[in-house]
Amino acid sequence: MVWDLLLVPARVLHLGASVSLAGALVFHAAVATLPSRRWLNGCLLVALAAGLLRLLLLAVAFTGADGPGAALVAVPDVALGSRIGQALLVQSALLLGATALAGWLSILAALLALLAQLAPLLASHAAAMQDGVLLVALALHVLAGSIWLGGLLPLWQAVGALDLAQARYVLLRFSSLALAMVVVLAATALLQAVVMSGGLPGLLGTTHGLLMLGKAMLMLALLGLAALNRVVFLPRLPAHRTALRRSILAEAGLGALVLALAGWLASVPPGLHEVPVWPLPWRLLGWGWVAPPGWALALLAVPLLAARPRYLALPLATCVLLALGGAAWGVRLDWVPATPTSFQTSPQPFTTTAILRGEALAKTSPGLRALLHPTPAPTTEGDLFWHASLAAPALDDAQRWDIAQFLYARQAGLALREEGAWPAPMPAPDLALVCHHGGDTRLSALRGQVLRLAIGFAPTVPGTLSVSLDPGSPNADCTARDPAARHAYALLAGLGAEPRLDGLWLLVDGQGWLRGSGFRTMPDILEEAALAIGATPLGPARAHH
Amino acid sequence: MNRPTGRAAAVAMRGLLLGGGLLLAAGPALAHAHLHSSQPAADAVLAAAPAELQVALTEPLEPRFSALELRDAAGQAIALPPPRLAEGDTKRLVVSLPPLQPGRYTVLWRVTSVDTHRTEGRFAFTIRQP
Ligand code: HEM
Ligand code: HEM
Ligand SMILES: [Cu+2]
Repeated sequence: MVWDLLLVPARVLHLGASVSLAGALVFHAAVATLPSRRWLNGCLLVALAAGLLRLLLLAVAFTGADGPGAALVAVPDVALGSRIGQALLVQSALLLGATALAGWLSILAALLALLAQLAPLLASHAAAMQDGVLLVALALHVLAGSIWLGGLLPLWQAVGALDLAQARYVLLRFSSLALAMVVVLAATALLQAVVMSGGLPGLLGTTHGLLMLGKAMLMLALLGLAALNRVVFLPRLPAHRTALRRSILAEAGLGALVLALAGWLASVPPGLHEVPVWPLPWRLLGWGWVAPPGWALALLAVPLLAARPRYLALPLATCVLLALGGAAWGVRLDWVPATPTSFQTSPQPFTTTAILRGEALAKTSPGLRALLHPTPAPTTEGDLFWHASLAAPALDDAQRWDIAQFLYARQAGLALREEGAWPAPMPAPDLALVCHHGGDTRLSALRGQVLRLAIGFAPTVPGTLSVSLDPGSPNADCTARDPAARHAYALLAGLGAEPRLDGLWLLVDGQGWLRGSGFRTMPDILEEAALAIGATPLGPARAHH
Repeated sequence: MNRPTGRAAAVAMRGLLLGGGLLLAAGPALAHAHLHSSQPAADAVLAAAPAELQVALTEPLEPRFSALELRDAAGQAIALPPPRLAEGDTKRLVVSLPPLQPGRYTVLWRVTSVDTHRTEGRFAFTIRQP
């Protein structure tokens, strides 16, 4: 829909105009020079027009109409009957009131204009996520951004129009105000980034994350210009007035870019809820320390020995720098090969039937069969999906995920055989069960209890629910419906090639994680493993997106 | 010793080079529905016709700009009243159903959340022959 493409530009225009208006009114109230009336009226007009345009475009989007003509009748409905519509109406009214009061009740005008910035936040991501802390952070973020960036053009105007003493006073006052706003912006930006990004994969691998990084870069550039103004131009004012004004104008331009990214950012789903596309050929598996050699430590003492007692600061600083450098050198990062889908997980639930479907599919082409030889590098379910996609471009996504889940389960089982533990926490694949009490159910419906899965005979362990993978087995609390599920669990236990599976057991904890497995062990080993589960919980199971 | 790792890296690199187009094609299909739960549940097989359809999403909704559609096995749309929000739950849409014959039904949901985001998806349920 071509009209949908206009939603973000309209939002950016609206944001820019309302920020400029609010910033100008705060500038007047706190820094004390009225920006020209023409500027205020212009900002107001653009803000009102862009708000109306947004309503129209939203009506097109909400009603699925072909174009603005058909959606026109829905505009009142959107304006009055949706949160964003009501918010835009309230915001417009507040901006109108604020502009009307400007000049004679300047503090009230500024407060009204700031309040106006908060209205649309009722329709923000933070509001949709129903996260109060995030919403407060966003509110402070938007207020601080409005006061700082919205004040730049009035500042530019003031520095051009005022005499030297006044200009210097205005610049100093504005820069203290702006500094406070920058601190608020940085803190709230960090908080929002941590909550919304979905970690490094979300930051580097989704539009939302990249936009946040873009904003951070622009903010650094803005700070650079601000520092230049304060440290270089301000002290040399009469001579550098033109350069200073040019620099403020450049700042305002960068500020407009920041607002464009902000409006765009607020229109795309947060990285937390997106499928990240990892852009690098490697990913960081972990890190560690390499102890520095002795001579490097000795080197640290050199600046101190050379120091005279009166001048300790410089040698000490050198020491600290050397130590930091050494520490950076000593960090060992474990990079492993990555694929664009490394951090993606299957959209379908992890089940025994998916594993079995994947196994059948994996036999269908030589390229897929080659994937049965596991690489020594650690792989994720998403990596295996990528390899399966390259090996079998004709399959659809669901089939590739089936293959990935099969390979993942199989590799985990092989690692369990070799190393005695699954390389990563493994969820128990879901399967259909018949229980004595309650009839038809699924394994995933039994969360909260420790489950003892077994093939053939398994000793009873008090406090656990017994699940036999042999359909119709008389002695278990629940039994599998499908005999083939045995093979899926055998793969996870590293026994995919075993012809007779009698004597295999697996333990599942209350969160649905596989917590231990054995094959024809002494009964007390099973009992011990079951007891250990209660003592060391693993945390909630991975929410399966 | 080095070779297998080298090979994996080569595969990853090739993936990266080949990958752009392939991934763009895979992207939308990978995106997840926004459905939290529903009644009847997705893929449920029911013994009797339900009187009501409930669809719970992950975010608060704009009920006036959210729609639920029901289609029978032949793809014929079944007339439904406009959906409303469940009592005390702004994330759940409810609509009463007319009496339904046994068979397979597809629910199409197309919703607007309060942050103006639009998402859509579908799921199916079956009413068993008595
Ligand atoms: C000069 C600096 C900045 C300014 C003036 C600014 C301004 C804004 C504004 C006005 C919004 C609200 C957009 C809207 O609701 O339409 C916003 C949202 C946001 N900003 Fe900033 N911002 C700045 C820097 C940053 C930085 C550095 C980050 C993170 C690295 C960041 C992260 C966010 C996030 C996560 C949101 C919420 C987006 C959403 O709802 O998904 N901001 N910002
Ligand atoms: C636009 C802004 C979005 C916001 C603010 C948002 C917010 C949320 C929140 C708060 C949850 C947790 C709900 C819960 O489980 O109680 C959630 C879950 C989820 N979201 Fe989003 N989301 C957004 C967009 C999306 C989009 C566009 C998609 C997919 C296309 C998506 C897919 C999911 C999925 C799959 C879940 C997990 C559902 C579950 O199993 O509970 N989200 N989202
Ligand atoms: Cu959204």
